Amino acid sequence: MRWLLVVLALCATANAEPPQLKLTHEPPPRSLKMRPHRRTAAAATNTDATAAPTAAPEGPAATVAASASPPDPGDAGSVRDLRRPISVRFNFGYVVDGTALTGDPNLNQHVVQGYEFAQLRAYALGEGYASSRGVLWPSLSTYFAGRFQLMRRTVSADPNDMMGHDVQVAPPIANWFDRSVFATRSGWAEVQDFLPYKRLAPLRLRGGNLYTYGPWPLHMWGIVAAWEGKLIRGSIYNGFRASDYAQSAAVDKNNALIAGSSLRLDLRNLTTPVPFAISGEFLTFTDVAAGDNAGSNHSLIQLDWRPRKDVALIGRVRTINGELANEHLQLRSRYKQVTNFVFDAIHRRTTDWRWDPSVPQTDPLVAKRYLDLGPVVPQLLVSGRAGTLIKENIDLLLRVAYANDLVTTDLERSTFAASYLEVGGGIEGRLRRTVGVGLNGLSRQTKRHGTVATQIPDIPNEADPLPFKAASSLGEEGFTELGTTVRLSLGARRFSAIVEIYGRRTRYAPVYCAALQAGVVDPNCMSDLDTGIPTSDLRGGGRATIDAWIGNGLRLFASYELSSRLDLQREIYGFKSLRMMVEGVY
Amino acid sequence: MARSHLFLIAVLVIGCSSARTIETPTPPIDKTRLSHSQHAQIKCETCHTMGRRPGSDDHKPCDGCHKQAFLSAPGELCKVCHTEVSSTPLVAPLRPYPVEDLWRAEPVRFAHSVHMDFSQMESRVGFHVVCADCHVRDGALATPNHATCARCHAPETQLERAPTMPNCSGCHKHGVNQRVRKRLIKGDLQFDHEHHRTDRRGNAIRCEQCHTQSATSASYTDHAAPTVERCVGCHDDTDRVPHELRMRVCETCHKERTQTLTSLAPRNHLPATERPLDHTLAFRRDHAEAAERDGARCGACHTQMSGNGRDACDECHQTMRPSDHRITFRELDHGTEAAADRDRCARCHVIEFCTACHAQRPRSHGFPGTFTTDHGGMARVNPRACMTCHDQETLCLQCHMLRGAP
Repeated sequence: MRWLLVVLALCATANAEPPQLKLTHEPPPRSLKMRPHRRTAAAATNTDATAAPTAAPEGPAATVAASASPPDPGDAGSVRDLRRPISVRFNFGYVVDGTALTGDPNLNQHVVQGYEFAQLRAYALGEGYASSRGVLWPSLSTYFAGRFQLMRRTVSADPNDMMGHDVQVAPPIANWFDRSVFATRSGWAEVQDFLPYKRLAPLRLRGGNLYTYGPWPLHMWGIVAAWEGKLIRGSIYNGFRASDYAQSAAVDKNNALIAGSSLRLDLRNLTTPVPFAISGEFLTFTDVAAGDNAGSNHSLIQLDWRPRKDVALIGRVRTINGELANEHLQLRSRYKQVTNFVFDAIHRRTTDWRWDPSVPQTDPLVAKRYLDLGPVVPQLLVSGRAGTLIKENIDLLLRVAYANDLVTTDLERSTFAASYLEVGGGIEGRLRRTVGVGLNGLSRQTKRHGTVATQIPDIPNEADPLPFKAASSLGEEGFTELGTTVRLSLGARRFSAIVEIYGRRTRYAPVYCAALQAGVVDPNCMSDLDTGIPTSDLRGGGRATIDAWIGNGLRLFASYELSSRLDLQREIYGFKSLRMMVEGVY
Repeated sequence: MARSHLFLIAVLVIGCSSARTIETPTPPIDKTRLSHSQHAQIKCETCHTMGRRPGSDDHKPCDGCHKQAFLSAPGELCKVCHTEVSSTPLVAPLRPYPVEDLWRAEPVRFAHSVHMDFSQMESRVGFHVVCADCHVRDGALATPNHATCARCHAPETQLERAPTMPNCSGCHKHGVNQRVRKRLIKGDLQFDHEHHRTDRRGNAIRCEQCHTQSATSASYTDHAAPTVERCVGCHDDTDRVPHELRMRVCETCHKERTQTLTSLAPRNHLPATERPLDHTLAFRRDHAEAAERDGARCGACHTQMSGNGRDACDECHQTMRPSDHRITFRELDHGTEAAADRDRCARCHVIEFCTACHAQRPRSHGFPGTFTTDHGGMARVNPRACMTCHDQETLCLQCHMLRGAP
């Protein structure tokens, strides 16, 4: 019996399932635990560039190697490699502006003679840019931008001068420069992440001739120290205001001492994000120019609420010398990169600036020489812009703006801050891969508060009475503009050509009325009678531009622009301008 | 005061509420589909044994609870796995498994960024992996499955700081999630990875050349598909792709080609040297935020810029003219624009720019000494043009009276 049990037990073992010796999952790949460390891989790749993989798809091990390779053609970096230590660009150009006399009298019934202004004006210009990254010191980057102009003054012999001395006359098209000069636009050096302590890595120092962006853009000779952390960004800057537009002798020397600071607290970067960012900008400077304006203090507080990644509601208030000057609310949203909507509401107060943000001239009787924009009128400006790209080909833009002067009496109104409604838009589509056509339009209708009672009786051969300074009844009543553009582009740094044509009709407020009827002067003139004074102006123009690259380093640019005859300047055929440039890029 | 406080609190509550994550909606009720939420109290591995379909072992372990249903005539429960069940003849064809629809247990906790961070991987588990370690099976590209993960995450490998296979929640959340399919290849597009191993010259095409964001995706759901721009980079480069496969040859990727206006190659099919997709008409007006966010990007094409990402607005705004600054802008149009929106002028110009030009004698004024007595015809059209430059009291009133003065 015992033997029987032993036999049964042995047989039972023989019938049991075979042991499961095979893993039910795949074994770890042999390469695991054998991959070299990242730095080793990078070193190996750098020492042997030919050892690039040839077939098997590789992963981020090659990413490190890629950082030393040329940029992928799929990136915008293929146009210009921003990792190059030095980039240089310079151009030289020649511009000819001109017009021609028609021989017709102008609106003053004066037949303009050729010596009264220059019908042709030519000048040479050039620009230069140079930037460096990591040259001499890995943390150092520099940028320089400058320009020059070489020109001859437009002069003409004075017919009233027996000696025939030359007098300066106007160029065919108004220009703001009147002398040859070289001017620096920018020239700065910047160090970032230059201290051995990791905690100080967000510190950045920039010094030289630079722009800062405080309550408004500011050009200065000075230094900026900025801390750019994720949660807190701040900067302080100090220097002297740099004078722009030195090409004109009429420009004031503008060397105000500037001091400013900014602070931004971005709560979105907290561990538990709160979708708000708060920032403040403070700026103070001394006199802008001798006797022109006293020093002023500016500040700007901004609250930025971003409930979603592509939706932002931004509110900001700006003060000048401690008084509230401007409030701005902006709603901005974006959908899938190409659909944008922006809504702005701006409220300007009488304390806001007059000519530019640095000139908060509050005395309405002090006019800047040859530029008087009248007193600052409180104004509400509401605007909206929406644009999208349909089927990635049809680009649409629509914009609407409405401005309302927040005053009640005509005397308070200003022609320089009149109420208006503006509607504009554009559409652009590609007909072929490289050819695009665009249409655009803009119409702005301005509200003028002129009445029959304020119209001026036009009495021939007499100096008519004038409306009160900058009355709101003066100026354009509106304009409508339509244009079309045809664009051929083979890509950046290759070849592109653009042809643009436009037409514009402007209507002016009829300020005068006919006082002479049947040979009798009637001061209570009828406004519906034709005074003979033009009240509208229809003109057109066009521009053709060619931009061609020879290789990657030489660019040829030419642009020809002209206008039609001008209804209000009958003495000339219109304007024309030819601009030719050659540019080298390294 | 109390009302303003309430308003402020409401604003803060609404503002902060956006930080909440959106719950995944529950799948629609479908009796022919196994509901994970109704089986929540059963351990995952009770049903999901490695590599086997649940119930494939003679209905185990489903018959533990549903025994009665299996002994009865074929009913609704059978349709969970079978398309039909008949006894004469005995056929019970199976439905595809896993179910390829919107609802499935995605490994939502899986993060490419963790697996592709070499330093972190090496410090945590002593090695790192590359794409091919997971995405190549039997010499061909394949979607990783449980067996793939198990090569490292099986308990036998004894990785101390990594989840192991029995711990389903290491990758999966309980229940099913709405499937997030972010695919570039869809519709009539045709694509074969096998043809994208090397370029025309035999150089390897690295995974991350197309899958640019894979290595940084922090979760399964934010894993973005490659973009068309990545295709363009190679397919418009004759050094890398033959002529017959360039982007302009639609049939390279599209099986069908529609002959409509929209059949034009979309903007993202153009090479990177063309205008970027987001450079729309609206962008020309509102690009400040994009430039501030990535200023260096501007410098890649706009070569007059330093390429420095900070405080670089002037590098463009001081050199490029807006499109409406035409030949007539200086003489005729700029005043209207300045009156309508002087903030726009101030972005580039300061007062010196205005006064430099306004200080010059305009062409319309003719030769010095002639205009004073001979300007009426022009002045009557738009007297404002005079008053912009000339002070009425000191100049005009020498001859003219003032009308309507207070």
